[in-house]
Amino acid sequence: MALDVKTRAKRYEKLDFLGEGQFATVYKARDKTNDTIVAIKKIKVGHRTEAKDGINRTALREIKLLQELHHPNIIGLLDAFGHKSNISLVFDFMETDLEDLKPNNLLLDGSGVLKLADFGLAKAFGSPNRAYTHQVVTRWYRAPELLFGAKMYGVGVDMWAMGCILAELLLRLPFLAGDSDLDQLTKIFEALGTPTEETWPGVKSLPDYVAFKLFPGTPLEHIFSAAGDDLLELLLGLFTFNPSTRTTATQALKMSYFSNRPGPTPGPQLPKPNCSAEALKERDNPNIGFKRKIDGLETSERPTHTHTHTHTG
Amino acid sequence: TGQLGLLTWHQHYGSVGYKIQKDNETQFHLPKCLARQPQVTPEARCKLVSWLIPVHKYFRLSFECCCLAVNIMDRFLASTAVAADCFQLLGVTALLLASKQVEVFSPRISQLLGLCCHAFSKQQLCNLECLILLRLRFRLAAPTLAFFLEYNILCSEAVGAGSGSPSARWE
Repeated sequence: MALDVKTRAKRYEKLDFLGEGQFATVYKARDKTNDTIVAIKKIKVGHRTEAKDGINRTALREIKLLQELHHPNIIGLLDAFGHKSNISLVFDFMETDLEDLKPNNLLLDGSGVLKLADFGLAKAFGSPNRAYTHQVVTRWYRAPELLFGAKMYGVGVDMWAMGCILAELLLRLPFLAGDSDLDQLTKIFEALGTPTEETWPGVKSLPDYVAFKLFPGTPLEHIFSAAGDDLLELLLGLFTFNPSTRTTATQALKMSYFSNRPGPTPGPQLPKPNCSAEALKERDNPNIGFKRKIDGLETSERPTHTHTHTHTG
Repeated sequence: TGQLGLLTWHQHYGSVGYKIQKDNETQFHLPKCLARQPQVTPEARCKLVSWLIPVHKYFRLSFECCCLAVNIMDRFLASTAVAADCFQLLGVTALLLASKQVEVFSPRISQLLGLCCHAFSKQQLCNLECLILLRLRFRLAAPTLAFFLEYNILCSEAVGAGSGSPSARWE
């Protein structure tokens, strides 16, 4: 086994330190066998409880899920190797910095293709009735049923997170940034109104349910003043309190927002980090249109005041 | 409401999940896992599985977790010769690996070693854990008997609820 680890470790030449998270350190490395650049995520074992229980469970789950998932929008796990309680995961290298859906875990590759990353808390799509931990998903992106302690939840929690990410793209600030679970619920209800048994049947039976002041909520068109009707319809569906009537991924993709013109900018034409939109425009075809749906995203050289779809350039 | 939510889930995604798991089955379930074992016999395997059943119940682990542990054990046996006196260690290590995947809480290593009457050290268990992962090439997402059982129960419940079979509904 030691030999195997040695050969595997030799296969990759460490080039650069990329970043450090709660559970892992990420390095940029070169795969000597095919001369490609990869990212190596070395799971930390320094943590006392982790060393005590052998191989890190978060890493295990991430490997398990990524082994099964092969999709152009999911980060590719190229290799995994380990020794003792150490595990290193080898991923496609991404241009942007490295279970749960939040903007930090959405990466763009060199061709502008979006990739989901960090499946440490991801759950296999198979047995929905098992009791799960509700301590999943970074708090700001956590669905209200999780905050109320629901142990039986489904794909709806990801759709809520999608709504939060979409809102953050519009506002360019986290939409619901609570500093505790209670504060998170307050922020949600202030913005969207306090749910009742009528709008969310069964809410009062959830394990950690507490009664909240009845906030009326703010109409979404006031919060996202620049969003078109199609986008507001999508947001409304994603921010539905009742998890069983919340818009599903399949339903969402059929909504007009995803088919209305203009279409999204082709991946390779998206601006890259450390590369301003202006520089990109000069380099490429000046007629490239950036999708601009919101005032906040307008580039300085072409101020527009319209709230509808606009092609610049 | 939990059961209702489950049925809704099943109607939307049950057939997709079933297809994925069914396709995976051939890769993860090996017919002759003991073919190359010089010491581990079918009787010994039966004895170990019979022991793992009360053990997983003792730790309040799920049926899915127990099925997964047996699958991990079988696939390791198909790849590596195991000495008879290390066989029990393989059982508890497989259970630990399975619980890390599908449970909220895992048994402590010290508890598992205690159940084996401290015949093995923590270091041995950790080394085996890593060796299993390497031999299984980190392929852990085996479809389990628990999944298929639950799927079939849900199918019959969906019919009973008058909503038709999920595939008929979905297509």
